[in-house]
Amino acid sequence: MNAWLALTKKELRLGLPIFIFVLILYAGVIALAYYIGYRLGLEEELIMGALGVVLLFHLFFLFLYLLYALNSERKRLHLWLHTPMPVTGLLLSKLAAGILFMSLTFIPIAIFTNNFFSDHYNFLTEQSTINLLGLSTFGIYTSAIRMALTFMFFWSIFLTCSQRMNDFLSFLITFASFLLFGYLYDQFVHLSFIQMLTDWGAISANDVITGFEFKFTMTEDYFEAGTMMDTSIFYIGHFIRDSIMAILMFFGACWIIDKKVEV
Amino acid sequence: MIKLTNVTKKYGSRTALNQVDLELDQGKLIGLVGENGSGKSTTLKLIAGLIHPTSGEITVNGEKVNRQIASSVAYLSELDEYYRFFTVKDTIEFHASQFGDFDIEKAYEIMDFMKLEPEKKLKHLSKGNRGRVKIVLTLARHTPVVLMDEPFSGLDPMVRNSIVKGLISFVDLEKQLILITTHEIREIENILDEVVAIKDGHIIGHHNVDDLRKENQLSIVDWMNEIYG
Repeated sequence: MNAWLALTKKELRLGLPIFIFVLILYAGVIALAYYIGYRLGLEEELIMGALGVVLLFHLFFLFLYLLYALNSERKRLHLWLHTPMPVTGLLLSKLAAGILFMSLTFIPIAIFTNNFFSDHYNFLTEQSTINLLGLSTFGIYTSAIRMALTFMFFWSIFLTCSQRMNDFLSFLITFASFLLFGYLYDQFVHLSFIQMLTDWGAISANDVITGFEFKFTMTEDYFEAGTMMDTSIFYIGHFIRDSIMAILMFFGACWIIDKKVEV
Repeated sequence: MIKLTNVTKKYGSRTALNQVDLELDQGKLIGLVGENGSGKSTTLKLIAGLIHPTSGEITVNGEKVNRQIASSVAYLSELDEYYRFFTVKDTIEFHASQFGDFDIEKAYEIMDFMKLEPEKKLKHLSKGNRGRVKIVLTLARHTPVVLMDEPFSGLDPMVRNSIVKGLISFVDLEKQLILITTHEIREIENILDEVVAIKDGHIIGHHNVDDLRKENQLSIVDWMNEIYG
């Protein structure tokens, strides 16, 4: 455990540049939105847009972090892989460092977003705001982690290919395998047997947003508010299915790095 | 101690090692010599579990080699890539945290011997001093096998000399087997117990250095000139 913690500490030091880069980027995007908004008299709108962009970008934070951290390690495979620690430990250490950095950038943004919405928009109840933020946080983290595990799998394929051919060809093969995998997985999840197993635990947006009716129709004379019933349904079964797949890909990546990647 | 049985290693269509059989015993300092591309580095990487044989088997102390052999094999790469943001001290502490057999006291002792400044970042070190850091990290481990791939590569004679002295002073030759690949044969000729010559992926000679001197009246360099033509 101490070895793993020390390794994670090293990962934090290795990944520091990307963390600082993202912090500056976020601050820059929000500051720019504020500046342009102030000049145009559209502060609220542009800041809300900037927060949306930043939150959306955060979905890809872990992916970008791992892209940087794993590629930095590529030059030092003789160091990184010359260890008695299993590859699961090596990759989990990178993932843990990435999640910590992701949280350090996400928390201030989430607090800022919450305060911004509380101060400027009062059409959402406090409960809805908390639910929405909670759901967004959960969604961003789980999606980012699943994306990260998937990336690790394809990075290990890229690394294996790059031992036998140049980086461009390796990238093409990796990208083609990614598309093929995506297609096969899509076919798999639409099998009636799999759907029967996974179409359960439906959560609609109405369970999240309380005290406000979201849907509205605008005509020339009036607008009509309605509910979001049945418009946005999320299945817990799908979440578990995709999470299992991501975990399998993580172990696949570990196996490939352990058995196929050479220094 | 180290046993390669009928080991072949291919990179695509190129054969780096061809049906190599080799047995190396504990308590010896062995030089693996040969021309560029002869298979020296491949041999060391195979023993370190960093690459996999295409066919054949490699064992260290009877244990089949895989990546986890790092717990009983210390490997010094010919590559000059370390975590440049670490100081010398950070690097030593990091390695101490990763290897249970790493002797941190010994590491500081070798560091002092090599005249390295502990607070200096690796990115600010000269190539020679980075070479010394690699030696510190490798020799501070109490492993039965120590593999050193071109430890003198690109270093000036002063640094080479300090590394040779470090080898003599800090290696436990009763318990450790040291396998060194190098082109700088003259630098280490006097400290080697055995020499293994490799050419085009084949072992073409394996001798006790004293026997070579006494029986054949040859230095390693003379012997190499003889066998490599």
